[in-house]
Amino acid sequence: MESTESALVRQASEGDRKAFESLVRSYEKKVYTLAYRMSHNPDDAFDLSQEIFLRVYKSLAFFKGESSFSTWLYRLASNTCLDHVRKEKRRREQPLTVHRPDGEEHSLEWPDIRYSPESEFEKNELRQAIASAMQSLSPEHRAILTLRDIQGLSYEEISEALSLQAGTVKSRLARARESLRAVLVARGNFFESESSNPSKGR
Amino acid sequence: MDTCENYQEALSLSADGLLDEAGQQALEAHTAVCPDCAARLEAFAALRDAMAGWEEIPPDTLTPGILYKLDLESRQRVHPIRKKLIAMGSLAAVAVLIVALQGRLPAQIQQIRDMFPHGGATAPQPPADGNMFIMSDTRDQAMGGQAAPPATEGAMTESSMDAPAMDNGGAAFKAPEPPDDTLRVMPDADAVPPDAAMAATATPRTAERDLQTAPAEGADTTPMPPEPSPAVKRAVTHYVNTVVLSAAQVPEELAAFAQTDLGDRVEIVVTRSELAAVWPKLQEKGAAMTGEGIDDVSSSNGLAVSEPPMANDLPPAGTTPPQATVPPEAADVLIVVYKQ
Repeated sequence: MESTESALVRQASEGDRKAFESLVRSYEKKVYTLAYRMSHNPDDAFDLSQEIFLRVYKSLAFFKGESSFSTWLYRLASNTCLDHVRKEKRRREQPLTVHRPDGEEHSLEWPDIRYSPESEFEKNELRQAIASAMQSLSPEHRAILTLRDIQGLSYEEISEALSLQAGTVKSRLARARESLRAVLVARGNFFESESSNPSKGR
Repeated sequence: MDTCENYQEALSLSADGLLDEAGQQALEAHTAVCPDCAARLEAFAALRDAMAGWEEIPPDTLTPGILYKLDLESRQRVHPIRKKLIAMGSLAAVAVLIVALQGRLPAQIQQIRDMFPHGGATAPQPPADGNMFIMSDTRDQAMGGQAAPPATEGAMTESSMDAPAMDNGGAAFKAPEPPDDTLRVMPDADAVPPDAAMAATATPRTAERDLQTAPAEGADTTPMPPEPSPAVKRAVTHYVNTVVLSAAQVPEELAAFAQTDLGDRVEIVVTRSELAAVWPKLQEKGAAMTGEGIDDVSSSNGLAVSEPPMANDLPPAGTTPPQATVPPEAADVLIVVYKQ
């Protein structure tokens, strides 16, 4: 028996606008959130979401059901966002690059001050700090953190969505979390490690 | 070596609850003696909790905006005139048009070829035996011997690959004396041949640009060009039928049709029947048609285009170019209004 979603996907791929609208409505928050976390500004998130869904509509004929529709959608969405963020990155000033002990190059990006957290209403302080810190992560780290920690995708789904080997998903996610933590610590926001926290034992 | 670096992945997996038992024990042994990694573990878990279910609410306009854009794109892709042509089973009319355009307006030919990459360039290839343009209903038939063009090998390959477009492109190219039932009409206005739809999708920009040269019925109209300079540039252009006018010759009635401003000229595409309604007015103002077999615009006879193909489209020696007919309703007339 065909699930409701697969029926909608099939109908949409046959040009049924109502079915497509239902799909858009069920995924618009997820797609918009991914686009928002990746671009860190509402205007780009809006444009990116539109672009993603238009691409989805045009590509539905190529969706063969080998993965779940949501994974396929995340893949298309992640690629669109990554493309956008990389282009933006090239467009903006030369990024700061730091060399980590593991030899991997991490680029710290200039935050887009038009959309600094101060000018925005964020639900809570921690999320606000995380949103801001995520801006200085690489697009790849932002993407994997969003898919895993915000959207709750499984490692397998992330592997498919980002075209990564299973091992790379684990290592990249670990590095992304460590980078995020390091930025938050460096900014004096949260998560001071006990050994380096001077206020410890106060 | 028991460095913190070695535990980074385990910390992350542990925060996700995905670390196996042996790994968990090893990690716990490490965090017991390494406050940094103990803090990391806590931090990773806290980050995960803070981010779980974190959604941004998109503006209400997101979904309607997407649907609007889709509508807009599909309207631009399948243009009213093409719909009409398709409805008549007459993408052929476009092929006729291309025959008429050969060697005359390179830019327009290219635009139309871009618009119909599968059929436009090859459809006018005339056959040696005069039979290749007999319409066939299926791809198989079109791919069969009778549809194979007699031209060069390259052209043959191209045409064979483009067989589905040939179905349509060839529809109206009747053999000199075809059987009555060779020209079949698709009654369903929405029966867009998939290859035609794909052709439009393949080159959306070009198609959009090209489609702008035709009217959208009842659509908004752009203002007419300003009064012309005394020197009205006349050019003989063929768009099946072409009417070349100066701005002074344009009757008010034409303002009802969508116009495309191309800088030095304005183009208006109408069907023959639409043109027939304003033809007396145009004649009063001295307008004349160019093209073949189009002296009487109000004639209900099929429009014959006997314009021979140019240079590289010439048939092998000893053969005659195809005589093509399209139903009069499907024939588009290009009205070119030169501003200077």
